[in-house]
Amino acid sequence: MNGDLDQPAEDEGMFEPHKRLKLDGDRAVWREVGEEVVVLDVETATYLSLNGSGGALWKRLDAGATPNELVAELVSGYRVPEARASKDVEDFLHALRDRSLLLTA
Amino acid sequence: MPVLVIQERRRLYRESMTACLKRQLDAFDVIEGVADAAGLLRLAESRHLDHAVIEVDGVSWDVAVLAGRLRHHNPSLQLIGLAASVRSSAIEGVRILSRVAGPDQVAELVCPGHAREVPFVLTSSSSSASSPLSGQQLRVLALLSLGMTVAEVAARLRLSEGAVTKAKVAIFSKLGVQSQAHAVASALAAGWLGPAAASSVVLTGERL
Amino acid sequence: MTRPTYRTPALRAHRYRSDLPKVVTVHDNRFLAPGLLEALQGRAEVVGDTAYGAAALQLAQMLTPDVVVAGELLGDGLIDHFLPHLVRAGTRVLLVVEAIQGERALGLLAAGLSGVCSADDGLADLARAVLDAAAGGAVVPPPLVASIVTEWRSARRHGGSLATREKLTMREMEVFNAMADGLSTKAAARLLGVAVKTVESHRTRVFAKLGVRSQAQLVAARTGHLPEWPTTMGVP
Repeated sequence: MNGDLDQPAEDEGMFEPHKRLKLDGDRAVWREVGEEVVVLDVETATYLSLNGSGGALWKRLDAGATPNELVAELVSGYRVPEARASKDVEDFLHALRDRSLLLTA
Repeated sequence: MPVLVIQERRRLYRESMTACLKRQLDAFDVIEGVADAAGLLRLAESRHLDHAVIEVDGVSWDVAVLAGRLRHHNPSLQLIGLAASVRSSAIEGVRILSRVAGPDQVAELVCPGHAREVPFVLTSSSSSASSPLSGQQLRVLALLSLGMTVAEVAARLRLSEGAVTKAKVAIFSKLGVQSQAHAVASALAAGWLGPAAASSVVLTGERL
Repeated sequence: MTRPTYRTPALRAHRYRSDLPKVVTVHDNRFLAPGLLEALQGRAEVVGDTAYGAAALQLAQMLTPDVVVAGELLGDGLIDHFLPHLVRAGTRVLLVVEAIQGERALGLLAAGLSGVCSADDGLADLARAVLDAAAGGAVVPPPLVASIVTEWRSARRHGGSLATREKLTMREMEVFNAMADGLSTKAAARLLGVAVKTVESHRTRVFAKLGVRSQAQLVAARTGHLPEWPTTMGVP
């Protein structure tokens, strides 16, 4: 894991569409069960549960993805209009960042 | 406050439903449940009931008759029936939900807007998703593998014997077999029944 | 490929108290988990719920609960199919039963079940049983023990049970193996080079000796999915 080289995602504002992001693998351990993703945040002793679309985004981020790629994932996987997908990806990434689970790759 | 009552013969499930709905529905007076039709009618005579959640399958009383008598006390009573199988025939004046509906759907019908509290609720397993057998067919097969007769399976699942026989025929046809034993063997081997499926789920991420 | 319904990506977080026992429920009644959550408030936490055994195994491995509360009939099989695996995952298992069958209950207890509760008990009783199980106790209420024993004795009288299981003869073993693979009597007869009637009479004796009522039951038991099955034939 390139943990040493990854920086926490910056704290302010919007996410740059082409900047690659990934999950903090040291902090969050997770497993996919059926259509859901369950996560344990070891630092804060918190369980996280992700719904279908959330899980899909999570899995992409595990391998590293840009916000644009995440939007494309939702558009192709769920046939959501791009505007809606963009907003939802933005909100989701904010939620992850607030929990300190995001790194810039 | 509007009054909601629960009819369910099994005490554990009755108390669970009551506890759960009480917590979810602040705007209702959720009465401690009643066990059977007689109890429900007695209650309807002494109190004004607005909503009732009742069993519709495998009960010894006529649900349509019960619904009629309850309406006599309160014509605008809302009746929600929990059915063991989705193919339960419609009953006049009763909104049927399948038992897998659970608290969310019942609460949604009675009073929209609530939160699920158990952290991880898994609504599927990959084995069941890939199986050619329906949920009901799997359950029938599981009980047959215990050595139960068609009559016993029907009683346990609250179905008619005809429905169980029909499920058996469908199972044999879908699995391409001609005997119960062969059906069980196929389903176990394919991982549609039992824990073989667990090891076939793709593991990703770190193991806790 | 049909596209799934879209729901806004959601992340739900739940702090858990590491000092309280964790519980996972696997049951086809969807009200049990939230009801139990309520009843255990402040004393234990229900962290996972599902109607499927395979999913329960995943939850048990992931969340390492102290107790799993299980129903008998799950969406993808019987508790019997999943019990040994749950036990191996390190959790205690408490079974909620609707109609107890003596021999089956004993088989499950022998396979590592920590206790049994009845669906005719109250929610508070189940909560207490969960806390007892988490603390290491075995939970089988006396009235239930009495009815299990009565049933077991009656099963013994009618032949074929755990205690009176006799050895199978060589021929009976052959027929047993054929049937356990799901073969019809006709196919078994062909395989073994004997008459169908011979297979049938061996089969009757095998059923009686092993206490099973049908070939389907034998198949399920033979593949190890019913825990009361002896691992070496002929050992009672």
